Amino acid sequence: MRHFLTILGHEIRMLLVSPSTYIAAVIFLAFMGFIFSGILAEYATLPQDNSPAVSFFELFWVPVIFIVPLLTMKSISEERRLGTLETLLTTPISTAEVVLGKYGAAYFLYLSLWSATAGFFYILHRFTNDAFLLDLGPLIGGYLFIAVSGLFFVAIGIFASSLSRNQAVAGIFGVTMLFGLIIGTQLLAGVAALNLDLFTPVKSAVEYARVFTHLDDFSRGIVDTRQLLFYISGTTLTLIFSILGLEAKLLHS
Amino acid sequence: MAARNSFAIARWRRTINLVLQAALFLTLFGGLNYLALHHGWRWDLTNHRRHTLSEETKANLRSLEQPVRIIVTIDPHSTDPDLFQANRDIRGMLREYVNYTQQKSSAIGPAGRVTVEELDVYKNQREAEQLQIDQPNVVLALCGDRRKMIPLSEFYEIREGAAVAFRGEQVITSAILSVSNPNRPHIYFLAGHGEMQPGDVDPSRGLSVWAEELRLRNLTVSVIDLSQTKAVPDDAALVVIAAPQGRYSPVEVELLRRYLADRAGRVFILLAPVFRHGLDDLLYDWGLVADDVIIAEPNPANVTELNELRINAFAPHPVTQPLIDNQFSVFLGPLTRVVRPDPGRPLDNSLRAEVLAATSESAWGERDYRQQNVTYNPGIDLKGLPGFEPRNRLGVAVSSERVTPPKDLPFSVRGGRMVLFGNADFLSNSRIAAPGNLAIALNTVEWCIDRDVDLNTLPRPIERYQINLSQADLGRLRISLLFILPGLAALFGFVIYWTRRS
Repeated sequence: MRHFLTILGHEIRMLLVSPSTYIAAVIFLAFMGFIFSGILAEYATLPQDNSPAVSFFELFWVPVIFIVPLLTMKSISEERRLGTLETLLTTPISTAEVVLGKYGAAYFLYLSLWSATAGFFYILHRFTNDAFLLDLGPLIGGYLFIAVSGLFFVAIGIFASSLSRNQAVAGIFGVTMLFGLIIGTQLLAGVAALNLDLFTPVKSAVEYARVFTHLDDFSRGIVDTRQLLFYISGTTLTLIFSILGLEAKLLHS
Repeated sequence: MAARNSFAIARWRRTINLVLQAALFLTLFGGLNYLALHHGWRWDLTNHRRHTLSEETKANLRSLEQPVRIIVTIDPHSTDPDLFQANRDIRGMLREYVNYTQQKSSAIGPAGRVTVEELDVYKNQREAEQLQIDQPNVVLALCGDRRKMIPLSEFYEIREGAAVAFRGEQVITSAILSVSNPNRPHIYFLAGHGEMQPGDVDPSRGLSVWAEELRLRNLTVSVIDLSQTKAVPDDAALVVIAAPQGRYSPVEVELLRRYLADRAGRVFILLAPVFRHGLDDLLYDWGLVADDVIIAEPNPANVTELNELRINAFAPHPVTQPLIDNQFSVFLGPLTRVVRPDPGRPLDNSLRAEVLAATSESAWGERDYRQQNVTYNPGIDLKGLPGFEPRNRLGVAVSSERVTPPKDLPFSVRGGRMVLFGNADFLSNSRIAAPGNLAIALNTVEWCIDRDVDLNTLPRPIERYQINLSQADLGRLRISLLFILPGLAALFGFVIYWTRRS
């Protein structure tokens, strides 16, 4: 893994100098600002039981489903389409190093974008001067959730990118997989048939993978090792699948 | 050709190798997560560990021997913010129970596990009917054929119409303990003197609806005639005397006295006015008196159109607290007598007699109730007195409890308990539907059989967040949120573009 840092540094540099990164950042922050100001309008009308941070992170899935595929769809599929991946792999760089380097850069950008949203809470504090509104528990828990779950979501985006040479197809794959993981488990958990004894293992698995439940725990200040393991093992498995899948495709290309 | 073939074979061998690796990794991670499902740790990072189950609850869950199903019928997608929040609070709390018992039961199977299910009573009507759930927004605890229905109102401590604290842990643990206990407390209704009966479906004199509510709370309901059985049964958790229309014999009264004194018995007495009941001496022993008067209420605000007496003055007590919290009223029938702690009761430090519910200050107890137009006659009729509790009011429900300190020991042992109401009509099938009536009747039974025991867990205070800004400031805040950060990102992008343009 000697070349991992080289690829990671290169990818991050490329991201930082690319105009598309800043366009994505402007769109993301404007969208999140719009969401946050909508949430605050409710707090100005009526007292709410949850802090603004809890309401803000409850809508995490909206940007995740669209931003993660946008950040990742190009990473491997573009290299494959241009044929530069094969050239890269003629050097003493392994497939794993390439995948992890691109993954690390995408995750860095994902975290940077979310970190920038901390500015919303700073602006809120400057206007209201009310420390109570910035309840630290949900705020730290929410960002911790974003950091931990982001590992898995970005890995899914990279995996989707490894599946096709076409960026658009990779993006659609990414959106579909993220939608299935985040919204699909939520919908599945509400299916009454799962209450049958026959489906008890399925129900347990769905409850275990239910992302909104994880968010609820994190935002209440609860850290569960099972949830950490779910995201870390999911990330590792998805990245391994990306590496193996890429090797298989190169083998047959 | 052979070389070409060997390349193809090597490629497929490598592919199979990759597929096998993928399968092995998948199995490894599946197994790892399966193991983690039953062996996780949770850390509550909040101050005072606000979301962690108390040690008392954990001890109770550790000793749980049967699986308990909890069914939540609150719509998780409700547009009502209160319901949405209640669902979030309750689900979050229940998750702690599920997680705790999941780890505990991993070694010994499903015994003692708490599982949670969601049920939409409109979409799954058949299942709701099987579970005897006829309304949404309740939580049902089930263990075998024992069940306890918890209405949403019990989860919150309400002051001045607003929820101030979440009592989820108290309520859920109490329900789990209630349904997991295989012993069903036995309630006996006395018969033989024209009492109202639990099997009677008559709207004005029947108690079948209330009896059904008691059965739904894992209580066994039976009828006894003390003149026949000559003893209060050994398993009696409570004896209910509902509106006798004739006198009990001295032998029957003695049986009740022994039951109360020797076996720390519990008696719930409902005495309609006019009828002689023969329980005066027993009541005197317990520091209570039931006056032969009828409450007259001149203020129409305290009387319904059906001439029912509306009671909304309650003293804090486990029986009345939920009514105070929810601002419920109790609607008694038109004929109610005054009941009160006996001012001439024997001096006994172990006896605690209290008024639970009282009339308004304008009511009086009419002694000459046979005449048509009653008027207050000072010195003859009863009136609430300023020097007596409740001040200026007349009692309609009282309780008496004996607390016995054992010799040389620093703690007290609870003795018998008695609750006396000056009315029985409020429990009849036609009146029990009023929320206050049902609540006070059920709370009385729960207090009498010691089911009201408050767990030693504090309700979790509810904090509310609100932004107090003027319209102009709010507008500036919105503009700042929409433009400052995206503007900074755009500025950075422009600087990078400008510096690299050459």
